[in-house]
Amino acid sequence: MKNIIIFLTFSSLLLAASCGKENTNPIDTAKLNLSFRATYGGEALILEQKNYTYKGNPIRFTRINFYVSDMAAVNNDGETELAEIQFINLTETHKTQVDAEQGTVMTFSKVPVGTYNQLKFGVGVPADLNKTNPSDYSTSHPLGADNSGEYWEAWDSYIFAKIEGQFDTDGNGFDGNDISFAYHAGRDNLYSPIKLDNSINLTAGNTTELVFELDIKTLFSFPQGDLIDLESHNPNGHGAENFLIMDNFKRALQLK
Amino acid sequence: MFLSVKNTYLYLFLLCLFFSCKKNNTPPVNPNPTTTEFKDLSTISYNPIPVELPVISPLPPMDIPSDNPLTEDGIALGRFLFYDPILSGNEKMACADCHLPKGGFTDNLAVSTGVDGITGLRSSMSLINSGYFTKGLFWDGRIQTLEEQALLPVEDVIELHNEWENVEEKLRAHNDYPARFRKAFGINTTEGITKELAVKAIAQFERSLVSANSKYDQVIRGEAFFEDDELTGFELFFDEPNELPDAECGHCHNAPLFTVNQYFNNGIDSVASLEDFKDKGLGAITNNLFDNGKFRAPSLRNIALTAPYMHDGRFETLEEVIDHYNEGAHFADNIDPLIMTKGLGLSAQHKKDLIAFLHTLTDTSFVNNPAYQNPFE
Ligand code: HEC
Ligand code: HEC
Repeated sequence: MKNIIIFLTFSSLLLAASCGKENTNPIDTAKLNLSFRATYGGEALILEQKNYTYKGNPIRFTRINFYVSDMAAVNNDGETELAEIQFINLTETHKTQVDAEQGTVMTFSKVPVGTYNQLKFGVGVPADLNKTNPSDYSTSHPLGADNSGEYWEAWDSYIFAKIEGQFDTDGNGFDGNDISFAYHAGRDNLYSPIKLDNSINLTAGNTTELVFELDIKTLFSFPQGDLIDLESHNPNGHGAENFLIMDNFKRALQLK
Repeated sequence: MFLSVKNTYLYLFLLCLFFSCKKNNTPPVNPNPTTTEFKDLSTISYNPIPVELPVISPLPPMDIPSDNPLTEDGIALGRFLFYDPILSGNEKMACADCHLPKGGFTDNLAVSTGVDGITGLRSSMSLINSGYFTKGLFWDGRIQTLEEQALLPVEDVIELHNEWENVEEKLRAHNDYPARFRKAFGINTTEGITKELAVKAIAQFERSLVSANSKYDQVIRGEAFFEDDELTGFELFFDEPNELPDAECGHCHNAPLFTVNQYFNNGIDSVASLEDFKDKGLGAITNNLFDNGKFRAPSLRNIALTAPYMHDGRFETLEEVIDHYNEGAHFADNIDPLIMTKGLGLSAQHKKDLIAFLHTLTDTSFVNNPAYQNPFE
């Protein structure tokens, strides 16, 4: 008899433990993967080793990174926040064809299920966070000291986006006479809000993949299609080209 | 019948419990019975006192790994090990011989010489604020944590040239260390003295090496003012939007750590192709041609104390360093776009101003801090 009691106690404990687990999760959730892939004129972009054509001459890219913030999935019930701030570093993920086709992936493991009709976010750091600086965060935070290369003292601003590379102005191979460009865009008025209408259906226990393509050629073009004149590093982060580049994220970033 | 089936389950269950307990309770078996007996340490008290590193503006809080929290006894043990030549093959050299406080935790040599007099290829690195560096250690980033790092010099033939087994044995037989390991980590016998715990202690000591009281820090906190030349240097360094040229330094050596912890080719080598770097740096680790000749941008805190400069100590003075950036940078396929091969356009006065600013990064209260000095003296 004693044995039965012990047994029942154990088994009910086990049962209770397993039941408890499920009860803590009243809302069904799904996993959402967002991947960011850079392209150049529609072709997968490979950094450093591959040249592309810009105004008839060779160009190559060495660094592409940017912040996205206040990311939310929207439907009639309102907004579901996905992330406050994320650093998207395409530099690390676009060194080979295979990696470039994969891109930089952000994973949200517990998004409430349902049908959403819009994704919204901003490219850059929103004004409330842009008042802070790397000293205000733990080292590994996207806005922290490990990423202090993305903060610029002289503007009291994070660098919202960086695009760097070399442009072979005379077409005779890259050398010291060519242009090394570093477009660094920052400051509050360059924050670039984006809304992408798209029906996203998240079902319980499933993973949904969405792919963003960022076309770098489009980033460097005027709305009519002409390409901007590239210049060597211009420290004026809120200059006209940087303003155009940040605004161009609206056109250059597309859901595939 | 009903009962006996359930009983079988119960017995199985208890049996499992028994085995799992038994495993934990088995006394450690000495794998090699001929080695020395392990001494019992359990009578020595173990009351670890946690250490919270103070967060000193403008430095952020440090991320401490959860499996190696800082304690008073852990840091103290690490400090002894760091200064103790017991780690080296012939007991003549310690970590501290290549990382001296007065040299900003470097040895002030172009490249370091190990215990056997063999010269290495690289310049010793400052350990200041190294607890903050989470994007790779060494000039080429080949190691991720301070714990992993501290394992290496002991067995490196051009550094301490020893075997860890040897060190473990000496530490276990030592008069003082067993009690220190017990107080730091709560081990029960001297068998618990392992290289893993030794490097944890060293890493704790290294994380305690925080420097945030230079003149620059005081100015940022509103406790001091820059002189005119220092202020101009500050503006040059951080490309303040004014009529001064941009020296671009802050892009790679940004506040508050004065490094962005990334890898760049800053144009010090003249090479015909990316294959030709004498020391391939990051490229030797990643096997990516475009990483050849890239090195980690080091922190410039206490830079006036850590001459000579660069991964191979090629520049004797800060003047030479500035001349390099101002007019001596060499083009390469992977040169950083913020290194100006056409020059920065700094005048002789600008260069002096920039150097005056670099001197404001010296923190004498750090290098003279009694807690960092040799505990054997
Ligand atoms: C013979 C001189 C020598 C000795 C002895 C030595 N080091 Fe070093 N240390 C160096 C050199 C040289 C480097 C740079 C090596 C490289 O980049 O390949 C270095 C780099 C480091 C770094 C990396 C710092 C950073 O910012 O990346 C740490 C940490 C370090 N040493 C700690 C130690 C510890 C702990 C010991 C003792 C266990 C030790 N060193 C013994 C010469 C030495
Ligand atoms: C593109 C990034 C970049 C820029 C811009 C830059 N540096 Fe550096 N700096 C580095 C790298 C990378 C190293 C290490 C290179 C090596 O050892 O091969 C370095 C090394 C140094 C060192 C030697 C540090 C030591 O411990 O040996 C000093 C001093 C220094 N830089 C000062 C400056 C100053 C002053 C400026 C502005 C005039 C500047 N740097 C601009 C990347 C940069």
